[in-house]
Amino acid sequence: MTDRSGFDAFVRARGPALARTAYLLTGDHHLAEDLVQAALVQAAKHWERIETSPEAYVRRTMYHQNISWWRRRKLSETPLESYDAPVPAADPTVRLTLEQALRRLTPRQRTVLVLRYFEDLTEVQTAAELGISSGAVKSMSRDALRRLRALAPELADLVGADA
Amino acid sequence: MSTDLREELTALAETQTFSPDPSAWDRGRRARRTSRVVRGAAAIAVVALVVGVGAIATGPDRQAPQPADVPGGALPSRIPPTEHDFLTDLAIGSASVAYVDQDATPVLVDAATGKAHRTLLPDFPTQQAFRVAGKSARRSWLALSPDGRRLAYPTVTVDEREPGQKTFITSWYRIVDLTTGESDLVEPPPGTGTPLAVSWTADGRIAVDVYGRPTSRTTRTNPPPTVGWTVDPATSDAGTSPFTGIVAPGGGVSAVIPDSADIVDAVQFETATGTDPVSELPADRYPEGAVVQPIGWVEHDVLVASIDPPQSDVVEHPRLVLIASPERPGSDVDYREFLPRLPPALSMSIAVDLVPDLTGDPDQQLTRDFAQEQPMGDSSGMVARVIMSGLLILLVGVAFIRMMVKRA
Repeated sequence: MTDRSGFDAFVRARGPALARTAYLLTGDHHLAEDLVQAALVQAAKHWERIETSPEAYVRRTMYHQNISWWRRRKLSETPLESYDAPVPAADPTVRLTLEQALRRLTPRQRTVLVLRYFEDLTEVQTAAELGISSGAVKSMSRDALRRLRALAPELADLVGADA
Repeated sequence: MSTDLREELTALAETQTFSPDPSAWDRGRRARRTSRVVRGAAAIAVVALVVGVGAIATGPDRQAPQPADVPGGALPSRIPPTEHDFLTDLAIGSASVAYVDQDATPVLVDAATGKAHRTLLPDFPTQQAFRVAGKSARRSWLALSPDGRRLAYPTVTVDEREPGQKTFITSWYRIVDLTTGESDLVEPPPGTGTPLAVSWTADGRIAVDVYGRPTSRTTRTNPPPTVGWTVDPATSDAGTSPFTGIVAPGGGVSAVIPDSADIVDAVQFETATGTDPVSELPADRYPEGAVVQPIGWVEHDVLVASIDPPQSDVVEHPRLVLIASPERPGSDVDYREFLPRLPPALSMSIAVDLVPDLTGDPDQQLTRDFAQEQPMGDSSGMVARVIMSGLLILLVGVAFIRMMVKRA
């Protein structure tokens, strides 16, 4: 697959799945679209040189790009003093609460959660994708779940008591 | 818990729609074309390079590098924190790595012990000189010879002739012999000023990049052209070089030292035929590119370079890599990282002869783990190896038995 038709076929086949992951990574529909497009542009740029599968390349680019974007815009994000405040329980549904709580995790924590619990990767596979140690994955995952419980106590059943 | 969370995440993700952007391919290819202009020139130059390749292939071989496990030295698998005391007796035999730390202090890594020593070098450029040089190329000032036994550096000082107008002054080059601890002064090439970079050639001369005669009005963004000189450290005889940068053994190709610490996605070369080919960095490892500093050649077609990707949560430190030169006539390596987690450095140099002969095996050991070896003597090291071998055999045996049980 070294031509446009191969790229288009890949985008048609895997685009929706990539977009779903992007949404969980960013917590924002528009940002998710931008993230997928940016990763696809990168893939098109290096299409002939992608030695692993194109999907693995695009996913890895998304993980790294999302963290990179967050670093650039973090100065304008939510002030830290309110960071750990519980999510207002305005909406009673679990899904909306989870959505709001996920947005308040750091990109690293969110990325680890997505890879572990959405992509079903093991700790070792997650570590390899992000280029960090398994121990770091484990502690980030634990911290992320703990923060989810702190942000949204009503999610305790969903995320476990002490996982 | 994880099943519930997975289900909720899946349901949440399903709210995202996807509309393919038909311009993604065109945008990617346009970006590729834009960033690959030099590549087009390189492709055209390949035919011309054949002549240069032939010259390199038939050129005299340089001194065979030492294997990583022979007495006499090796590159460390990790550069350790510096020892507490400054090294004042420079007769350490040989160094594997020489770098300038962020305080502008030169550091030598002993090739025999792997220990890193902050060092007092006579007339070494001051912290102020490095600060004035900023992030320009004009700070690759510490060069370790291929065999690790000699150091070369310019005796740069800073003069402020008028308020706010700082000027570099380089009256001499210093050559330090690490086998005796003695040092000599060498005259700079005639009519040249402070070098942009200093390195060693395979035949034992010092190679320096300096600004040449300006061809137009010079400004900060339009500096004079860079020219290369080589100097015999024994006689101070100097001659101009057809190349700038780090010249490969045989002289057919040179790795260009970038003008500044900018992020790039390819290593730039010059060849005897006047072409400027590039070797691209692996895009899947460095999707955003990296700062590249050529350091030396381990073979006539394999370059050692320092790669410093943009800092992120998943990339922590610069690292040393082997990169094939563009013509790559049967090179034993295409791209390989071999010394990760380099300390932050203003200038980095290694004894390239301490990289073993490359076999093409991606698992070939190129460095030595001194931290594992130092606490133990030879005999205890042997015992440890025997124990490790025994454990390995045990594990293989257990795995084999489990496999047979499963089959049964």
